[in-house]
Amino acid sequence: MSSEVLKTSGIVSIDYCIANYMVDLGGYSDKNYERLFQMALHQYSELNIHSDQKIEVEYLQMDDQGIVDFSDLTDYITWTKIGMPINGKIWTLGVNNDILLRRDTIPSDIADDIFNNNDSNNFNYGYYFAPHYRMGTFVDGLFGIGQGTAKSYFRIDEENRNIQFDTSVPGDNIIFEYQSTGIKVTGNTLIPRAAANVIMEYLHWRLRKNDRSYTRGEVLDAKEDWKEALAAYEFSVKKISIQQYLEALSAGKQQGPKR
Amino acid sequence: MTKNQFIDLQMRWLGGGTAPADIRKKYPWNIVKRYTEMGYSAYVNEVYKADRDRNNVYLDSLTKPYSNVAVAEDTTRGEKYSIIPTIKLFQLPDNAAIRQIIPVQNDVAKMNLAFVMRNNNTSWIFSQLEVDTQLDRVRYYVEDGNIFFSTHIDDLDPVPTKVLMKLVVPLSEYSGDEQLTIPIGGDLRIFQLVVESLRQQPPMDEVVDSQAKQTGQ
Repeated sequence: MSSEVLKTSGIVSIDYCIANYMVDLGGYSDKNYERLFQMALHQYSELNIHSDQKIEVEYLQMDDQGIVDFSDLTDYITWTKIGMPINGKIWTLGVNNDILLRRDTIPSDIADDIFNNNDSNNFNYGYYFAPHYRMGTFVDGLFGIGQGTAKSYFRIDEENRNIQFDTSVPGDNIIFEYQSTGIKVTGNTLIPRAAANVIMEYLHWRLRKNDRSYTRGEVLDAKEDWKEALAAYEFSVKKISIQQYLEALSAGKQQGPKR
Repeated sequence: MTKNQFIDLQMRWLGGGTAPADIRKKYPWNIVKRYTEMGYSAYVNEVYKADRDRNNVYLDSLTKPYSNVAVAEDTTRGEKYSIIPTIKLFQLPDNAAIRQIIPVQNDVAKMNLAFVMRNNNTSWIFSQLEVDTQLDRVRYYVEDGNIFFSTHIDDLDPVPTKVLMKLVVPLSEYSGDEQLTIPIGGDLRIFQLVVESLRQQPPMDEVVDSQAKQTGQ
């Protein structure tokens, strides 16, 4: 006889949080659902930014101009690591914020002249050019590859949502690690069950806050409940594992001669 | 109790000895019917106000279902819509008289796919927020006797051509033989409201002669 017992899921949807909130309230109207859903999404993205630090990894492909477009990653907040598989090993790349960004503001013929038509040897010594005009067109920080400890260099173009690499990058498969809002642009966002209570308490608080029929004391009461839920959530996501604890203990120990 | 039975009951009381003298045997059936419909409206409003904090779950018991309401397409707006099957719909805040709208797929109403309300002219706000893509539930909003549906309706498979509407409508929308689903105690409250209204009417002999007399008296 099977001893398997079905358990509830460890991850839940945003709908789950709102349905739970409505059950808590004892009201089941569809009138506020869309508003509640947006508030729950907002709270969950806040949790990811301030409490959870949700990290995602995405595998991307570089084009022949050394650019990786990540505009589809709408949940991107900031990057944490960029690596590249080379000969069975992952090389992490170094950031270089002096790389000339290939933007539409530079006319394509000048950009081609900089990136494609010149001899690549010109880029091996780390020349920096002050911003200047060429044929009446502004050229911002013309750059050649410099020296460093990393294998190759990249720069993030936040506005255009892409990564640009220098010409010494030996491959085109990019491993892009970044901090995420945790909310995907399509499909239902699934969230850890531990976060559901924070979202429910947030809805209780915020809806009271914007409803003048509640006293200031009742609003603050709900806010306290939310803060407690948030503290519990942060404790659960930030608490160290037993392995981390043991490693921390042993880190300060060393073997020495017995006296 | 049917609507006619409810009115008959009040006629019986008004014709009996316990009714106050100023309203006893003074009002014909049609007038009492009209006052009953007004009393029902006042009762629905009371229920709405008393239950506002709990999202009006009591209004659900006053619901009249309209099944298989056709979904049409407004090509100039690019939106699908249904005509509200009765023009007489209680005008309550937040469209509270519309209790639920459920898509009908393959002749079966899918309760779990119930639509959610969106206030009219708020699409431009919600289209700027994540909820627009995250929530796949169909939104509806009311405009000029129609209920428009958000484009999310086209994502349903199959796309519903009919919907089930649960509406709170005036008593005049009920036929005489139709059973009334009034919550317990509600019938007595409506009766009280009818009597209160009748007692506020000026007696026939005090009506100004220059004004038209009430019909049926």
